[in-house]
Amino acid sequence: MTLPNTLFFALTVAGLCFLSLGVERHAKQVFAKAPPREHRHARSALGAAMLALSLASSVQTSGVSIGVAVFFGTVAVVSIGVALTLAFRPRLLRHLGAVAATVALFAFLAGFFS
Amino acid sequence: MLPPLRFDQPRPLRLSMAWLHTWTGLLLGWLLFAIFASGSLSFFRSEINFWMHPELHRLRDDARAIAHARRILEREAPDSRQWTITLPGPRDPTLFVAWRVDGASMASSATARAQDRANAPTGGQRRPAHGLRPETRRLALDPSTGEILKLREGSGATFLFRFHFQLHGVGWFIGRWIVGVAAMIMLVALVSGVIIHRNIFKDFFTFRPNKGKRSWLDAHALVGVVSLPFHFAITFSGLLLLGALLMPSVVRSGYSNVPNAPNFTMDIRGGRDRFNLAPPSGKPAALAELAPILDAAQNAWGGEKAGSVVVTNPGDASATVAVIQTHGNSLANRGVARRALFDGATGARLETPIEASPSAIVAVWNALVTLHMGRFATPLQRWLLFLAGVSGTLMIASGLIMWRVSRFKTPGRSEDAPFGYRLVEVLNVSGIAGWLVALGAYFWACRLLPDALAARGDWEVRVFFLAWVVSFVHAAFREHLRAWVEQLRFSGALIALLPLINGLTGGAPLFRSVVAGPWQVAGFDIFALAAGALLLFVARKVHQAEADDSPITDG
Repeated sequence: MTLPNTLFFALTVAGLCFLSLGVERHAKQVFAKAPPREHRHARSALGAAMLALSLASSVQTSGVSIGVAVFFGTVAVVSIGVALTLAFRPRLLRHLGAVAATVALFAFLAGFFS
Repeated sequence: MLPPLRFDQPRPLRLSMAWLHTWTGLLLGWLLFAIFASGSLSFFRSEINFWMHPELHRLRDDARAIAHARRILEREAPDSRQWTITLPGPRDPTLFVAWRVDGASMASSATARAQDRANAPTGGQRRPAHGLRPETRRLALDPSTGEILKLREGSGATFLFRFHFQLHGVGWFIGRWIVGVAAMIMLVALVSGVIIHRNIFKDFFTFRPNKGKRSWLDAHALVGVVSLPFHFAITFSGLLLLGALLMPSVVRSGYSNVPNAPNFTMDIRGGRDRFNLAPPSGKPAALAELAPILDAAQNAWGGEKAGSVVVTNPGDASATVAVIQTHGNSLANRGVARRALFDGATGARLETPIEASPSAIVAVWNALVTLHMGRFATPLQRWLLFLAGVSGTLMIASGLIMWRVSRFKTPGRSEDAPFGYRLVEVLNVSGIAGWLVALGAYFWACRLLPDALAARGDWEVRVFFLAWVVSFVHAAFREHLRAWVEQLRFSGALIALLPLINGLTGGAPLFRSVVAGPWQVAGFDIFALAAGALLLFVARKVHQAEADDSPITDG
């Protein structure tokens, strides 16, 4: 897996994790109690921002047309993964978003300084 | 369940749309399932085709292919005006050479014509000579020896590919019309499905297992919504591909009917002068070595591999050699790949003519059509397209099952069901599990039918349809859930055993292919194992539901 691919994939995973935790039902599943509304909104905004960055990184790597297609394909696959995790092992999602975001950060820095 | 729709009363939009979604989806669901399933597999057409030709599994590319190709072309087609060499690649290690036969020298090599016939059903791109159009002859070669390969007759993945847009046995014209109507209905079902979905964003990640109808609805919406852009794009572009057939008057209004006048296809494919080659100078000159030219091109691209080499006017002083890259880098230009042009006599690099960028209309057409065909895709992107196709297939299957689940209180009992309900049950089992049985049987037939059988390819297809019909009859005579369990188990076993059959009938066995290639064969076998295991797992789930007569299908 190349650096741009890692960055793109980690951003997509992080974005979708945060977006899912912005939904009240899923936040309850993961944290066992409903988090305050502001937390959820913050997560949604963070998730949306990361997805936007992931789209940008895909376009940067593969050009507009293929980049957009790859973005939507990856979002579909990762979303199904997130939905199944929420259904069967919701607690796994507690830190996955943060881990993926960290991986994305390192991938970005590695690309920036190399 | 929504209240029934009354046509004699005012109807809220969502209720009307729910009615539309339910009944259009049901009417063409089984056909759409087969189209989506075979279409998804067609993203791996080359790989599946290769798996279905075990005699090719031993081929190894040792980078001498280009020299062999030239030797064979000089022997078989010395007078041709254009040679096309398709280099062995990661999807298919066969070396293909093709050459153009202009009207006069039509009756060339007899070996080539025999090969053409043999290749035609396996996806050989033979173009019939009508009008002034030049004909193309094609040979498959062993890339390391240059030996001419005799491919075993078979329908290959081409059958699945053709089935997904023109069905089989009804004639291509009617078949394509039926598929076109189905695609239109698919679009109706997609739009109405979006309208009746209450919370697309709030329910985006929602799947609640073991809750009967609720679970089916969640699953249906999940696979539908997450790949919604793909579903729209693939359905719309599919319609676009059939557009000239479905709406011929639109095409006719812009083009004349004169043979060989610029026509719609030429404009769309950007090949108005594809058939008009630069004239030869008449001065003979030996063709330069091709291997250094290939290296020069690949070095100039930073190591990106070339997919094919086109030699125009070989043996003439004006000869040119075009080296074309494997992948394109944009959808807008048909995934057209980069090309490097060389002087055929000296081997010097020539300036590559700048290709005019397509008009906006052609660019949109290209983007959609190229996406549909996955022409641009690297392996990872190809898997994404395939998975998106699978999600569409699952969406259709779950929709069909939901129709039935939401109409029965007890899942297993259907003795008292009206004929229509029972028909849906039988078609669900044979349309979904039965199609998978037919697919498994098709691959078995490909490997087990004797080589010498006349019309072997037709027999493979017959086995496919025979298995499908038998699964229908079976479903009609068995208890509903029992039929599901048995057919899922049978299809799972057929598909999971494919790697074994492959190893036993001359293909590269999995334990070897997984360490030393060919990777397409290893990929096919591993995927077959996984898919088979998944089907057996689903069969187990249904069996449990049947045993305690409730969970997964309970309304």
